[in-house]
Amino acid sequence: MTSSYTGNRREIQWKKIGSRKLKDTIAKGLSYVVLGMMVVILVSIFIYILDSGASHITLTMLITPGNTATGGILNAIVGTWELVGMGLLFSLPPSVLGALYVVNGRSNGTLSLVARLFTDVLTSVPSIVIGLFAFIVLVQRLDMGYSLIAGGLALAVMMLPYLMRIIEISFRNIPKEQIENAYALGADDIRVASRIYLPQAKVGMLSGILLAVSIAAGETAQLLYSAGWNNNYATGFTHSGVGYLTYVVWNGINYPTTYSHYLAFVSAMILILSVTGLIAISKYIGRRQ
Amino acid sequence: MEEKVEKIIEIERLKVETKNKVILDGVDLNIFKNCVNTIVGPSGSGKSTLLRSLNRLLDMDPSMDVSGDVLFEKRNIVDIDPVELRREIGLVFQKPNPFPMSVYDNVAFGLRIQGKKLKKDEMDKMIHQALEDADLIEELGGNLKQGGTSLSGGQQQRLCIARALVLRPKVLMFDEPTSALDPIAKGKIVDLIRALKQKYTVILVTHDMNLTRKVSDYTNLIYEGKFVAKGTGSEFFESEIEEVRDFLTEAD
Repeated sequence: MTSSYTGNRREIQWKKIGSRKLKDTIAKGLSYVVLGMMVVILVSIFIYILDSGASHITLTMLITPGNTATGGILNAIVGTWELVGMGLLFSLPPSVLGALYVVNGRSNGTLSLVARLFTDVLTSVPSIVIGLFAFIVLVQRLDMGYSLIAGGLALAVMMLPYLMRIIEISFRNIPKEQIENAYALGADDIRVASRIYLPQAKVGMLSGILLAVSIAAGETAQLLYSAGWNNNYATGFTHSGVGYLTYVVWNGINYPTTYSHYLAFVSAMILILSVTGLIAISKYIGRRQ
Repeated sequence: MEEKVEKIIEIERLKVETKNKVILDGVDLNIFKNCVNTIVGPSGSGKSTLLRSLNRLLDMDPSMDVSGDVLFEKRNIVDIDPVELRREIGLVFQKPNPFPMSVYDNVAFGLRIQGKKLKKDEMDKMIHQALEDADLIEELGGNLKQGGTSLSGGQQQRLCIARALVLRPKVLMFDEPTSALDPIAKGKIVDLIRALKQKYTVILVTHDMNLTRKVSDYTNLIYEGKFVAKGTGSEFFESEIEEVRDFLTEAD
């Protein structure tokens, strides 16, 4: 009697395991299908852009400025990094301070919550809206004209929430006891920030910066309204438009000459390679941490 | 005995509460100079909170509401700059937590953040002295460049003690310093606490009654946020007070 009972139980367990295995196989299969679709889309974009770009690239394109129809794209390459650098300059300090504030939370929590909500909303504001705002406030009201500062600020608005969130995460990874201990040894807020938070989070911060930079480098909409365009290099921080690669992609394709299409593809290729490179570096650094 | 010993900290009606809980409910307690002052009590009775209120570490937590008076050398601690107060009253935490830097830099941390420029050999001397006082210098074999986190648990805890000692505090507080350590490492801390009271006033929070028996000069029982009983080393263990008897029975 007892033995047959045990036998039944075993059989039931077997059935259960069997159905679990089936479910597992189906779930795994679906994941692979979705992953496969993503890889196919990404790889075809890559191949298409690299193929179209690499076959038409010339040295002259890379070392001369131009107007998206004639000449090269050096003004756009330089301008892209100038704008991104400016964006970083405007967004990094407030992100670090904001993250320190949220993590160290000396407030009753309400302000931290507001800061969190603010950054979340900021992430989802369409870039064209940020651009429009930058145009009205910076370009027109503050009379900066299309410029590096206006473009940098418009990018900074977009970079800020990403930076702040990633920096906040790397701050939160530092053991709370260490922070408390530093205070117990007589460190004030500034010293705890400069000697504990910043040195220990530097790797996480760096990967955040690279990610924000790669996102900013691929932006177009808010720059159209704030940085404008320049057939040559920007000559100052205000009242001088700036060229950038995404503009070449957009305008070059719209222009009815073969050469302008080549410029667009080469710009797209440079963008995609630098963004991929930056993301790869940030992942590598992040993993090493 | 008590009357002859100088009080270094006087705690009067100390109350700590959050919105929905009273953690310390009017504690009156004295800390005596150059003695090991032990605070015992069951988990959650408010011992750690008491320590953190003495060096105003509780100020960091906006949800804690602190009232009552704490006098450190006859001065109310709210009139002392918290940064200065924390250098005078050092705190060693339950879990050893060296900073991820070398042994030397760990000990130097407190000195460097003072902003005073110390000469290299002066700093070296202070760091060596602190490591010696914390009974760690021999085990390290002079290698102060090794990472603080690569030491064993017991060594890490003594490194944390050295880190506090280098600031020459008047009072050194220990929050259950042995609970995360093995018996041998624990034994070393016990010897160390005994030695330290020659130079410093020690406040020890623990629920380890063996440790208390070995090192305590004055033992104070805190129960559900209230000060219940105190006594010198042997007095305490023979106390007839009901809560003390209950606590001792449970602790053993």
